[in-house]
Amino acid sequence: MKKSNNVLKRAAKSVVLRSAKIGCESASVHFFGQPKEPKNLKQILKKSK
Amino acid sequence: MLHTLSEKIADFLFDNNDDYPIEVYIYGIEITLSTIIGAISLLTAGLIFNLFAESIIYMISLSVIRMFSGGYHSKTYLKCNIVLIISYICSILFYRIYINHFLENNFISFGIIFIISLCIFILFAPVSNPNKDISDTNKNRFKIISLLLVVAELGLSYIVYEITGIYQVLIVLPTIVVIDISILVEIIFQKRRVHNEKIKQCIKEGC
Repeated sequence: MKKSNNVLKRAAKSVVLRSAKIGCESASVHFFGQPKEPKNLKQILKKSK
Repeated sequence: MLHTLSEKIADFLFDNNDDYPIEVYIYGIEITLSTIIGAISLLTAGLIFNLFAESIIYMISLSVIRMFSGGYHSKTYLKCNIVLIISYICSILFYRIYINHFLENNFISFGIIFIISLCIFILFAPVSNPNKDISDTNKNRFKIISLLLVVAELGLSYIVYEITGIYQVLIVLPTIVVIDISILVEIIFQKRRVHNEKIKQCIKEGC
């Protein structure tokens, strides 16, 4: 049970990070809503690679 | 509401010992959720209007170009979805009128929209908004990519329609018009924001 939870968590993490990277590297997100980008997101994503 | 929900999901799934600060996860979750909600809204509208293929083409062509061109963004997600659905319905109306009355002038219509879009993209794209600032290094790159995408989408839909007769691809025409309008609207709002800031400053300084 714990193992499957970890797998799910890792999958969710990779999806969420992929979205954050897309948001960071594009001029706007897909449709008409745009969440506020965290400060220095690009540097944070680069640093933690 | 979506922000609060994203915070709760991030708190549940991640903690401060993770590789990235929690704000990054909240931001990623917010983008994921808003994209899923937008996609579901469009596909549902497509099913209601019996225009499912057109909805998929609309969704892909709109989101791909807007990722590089930027444009108008609503302040709340509810408003965002309302704008998305209204723009979709307007595009469908335009598309229906177009395939019923203007198909004989297909080349001219494509040409007009192509020239207008090219002018708008060259002059204004990419457009930043209060929640997303575009760095100077990215500006030129995004302008070129968005221009190429407009040319590719219009060119492809024209060729596909002329060769195969699949008329559903013509939904690309109103989609490009929606993107053009969203760029112009954001430019107007930007100017208005600058003007309001000036007035506020003036009131503060007592001029």
